[in-house]
Amino acid sequence: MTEAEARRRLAMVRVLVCGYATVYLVLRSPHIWSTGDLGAERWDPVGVVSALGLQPLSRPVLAALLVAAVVAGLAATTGCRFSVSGPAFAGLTLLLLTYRLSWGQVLHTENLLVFHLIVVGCTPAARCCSLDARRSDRRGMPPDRPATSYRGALRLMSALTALSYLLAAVAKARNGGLAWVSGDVLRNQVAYDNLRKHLLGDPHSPLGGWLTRFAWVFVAMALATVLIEWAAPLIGARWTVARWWIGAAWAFHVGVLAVMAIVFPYQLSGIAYSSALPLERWVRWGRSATSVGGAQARASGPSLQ
Amino acid sequence: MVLVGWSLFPLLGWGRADSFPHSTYPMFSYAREPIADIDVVRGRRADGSSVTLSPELIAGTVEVIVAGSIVRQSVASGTEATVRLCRDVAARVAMNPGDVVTIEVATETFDAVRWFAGDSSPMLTEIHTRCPIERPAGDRG
Repeated sequence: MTEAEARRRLAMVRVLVCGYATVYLVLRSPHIWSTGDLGAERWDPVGVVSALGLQPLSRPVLAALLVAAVVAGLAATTGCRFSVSGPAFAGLTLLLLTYRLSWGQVLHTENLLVFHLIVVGCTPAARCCSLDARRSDRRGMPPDRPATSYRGALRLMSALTALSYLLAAVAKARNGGLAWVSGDVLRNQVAYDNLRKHLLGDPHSPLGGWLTRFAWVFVAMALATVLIEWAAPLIGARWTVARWWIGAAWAFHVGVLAVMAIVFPYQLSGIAYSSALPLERWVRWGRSATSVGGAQARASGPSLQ
Repeated sequence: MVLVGWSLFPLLGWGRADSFPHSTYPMFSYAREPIADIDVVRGRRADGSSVTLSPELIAGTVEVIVAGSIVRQSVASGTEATVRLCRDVAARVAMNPGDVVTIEVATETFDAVRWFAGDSSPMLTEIHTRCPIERPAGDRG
């Protein structure tokens, strides 16, 4: 991949990741807002909220932060004043999602999104496909030489993706040991998690519950899980290899959804793997296919005029 | 490098292991027996039949994990917290139409695998507290 291709891919990744995070924040805002209904005894700050010594926020402050985050998200997605909007959006999203998780229960579906946003927000991801680039073109200004290489930013995102899976693999090896691979641990976890959800009035996976009757299924699932997690560094390999791992990781999250009713929306959307996808080539193929198709249609089709 | 180091924080034993955005991702990594104690809050009708309550009614949240955590922590904290939870749930249930007359906070022991094979009765039930639903007079009947 040339630097020019990497520049284009990083810009596309910016649009996908920031666009996704903006929509996600809007959809999550009722949950963030509802923390105001939880009692103060539930307050258990984590991450930056703990490091900054923050206390539960008042409704007006929370509302202001949510609005600011969405505005920054729209600006970052479109690449408007990205040197400000990129870091601001990453920081506000980190703060709001950490605040949401500072009420006694840490979830694991948003970690990778936040790490990716920090990378995108702090790298020159708006040098093309952005309002900033259009403004520079109009003024005839040459683009600044970026301090970070575009390829480096993409590799860092892929490395963080791989690390999230590797850390989960290490946790299973440390906490579950070899028993985890036997399938019994996974089978019991699936049965317990689905039963707990059922008893607490939440949708659970009838498929996962039914599958617990077949122990061998969970041997296969446990082996596949461990294999996919340990193989995560393959996301950094060349595309012909990386695509198999990306497909397997995506299928793994589909399996988690089907068997445990747990949604990893960032991974399921495919955007979590976008740094390793040849987006710039796909867009080029798409454009050439459209232009060839359009030219053929114009050449062979009857004219309506 | 800073970001990679940050994500590796918990692995190196620095700070809280399961934080955000850095985490060891411990979910579902621990060995678990099929027999498990589950703290529950449920409604009872006048005929004794049970009603599963939603996370909103149990804890005022749409998130089941948060609701489960609130119930678990209340039970672990002892009688005072359990009674407070029971009254809070009863107050929320009373604001909605329905035939639930009592709230129960209990710990039920299940064989989770056998439950999905059709054996849905708990092996053991320990009721921590019960509290009545006090509906406004116009809502009764």
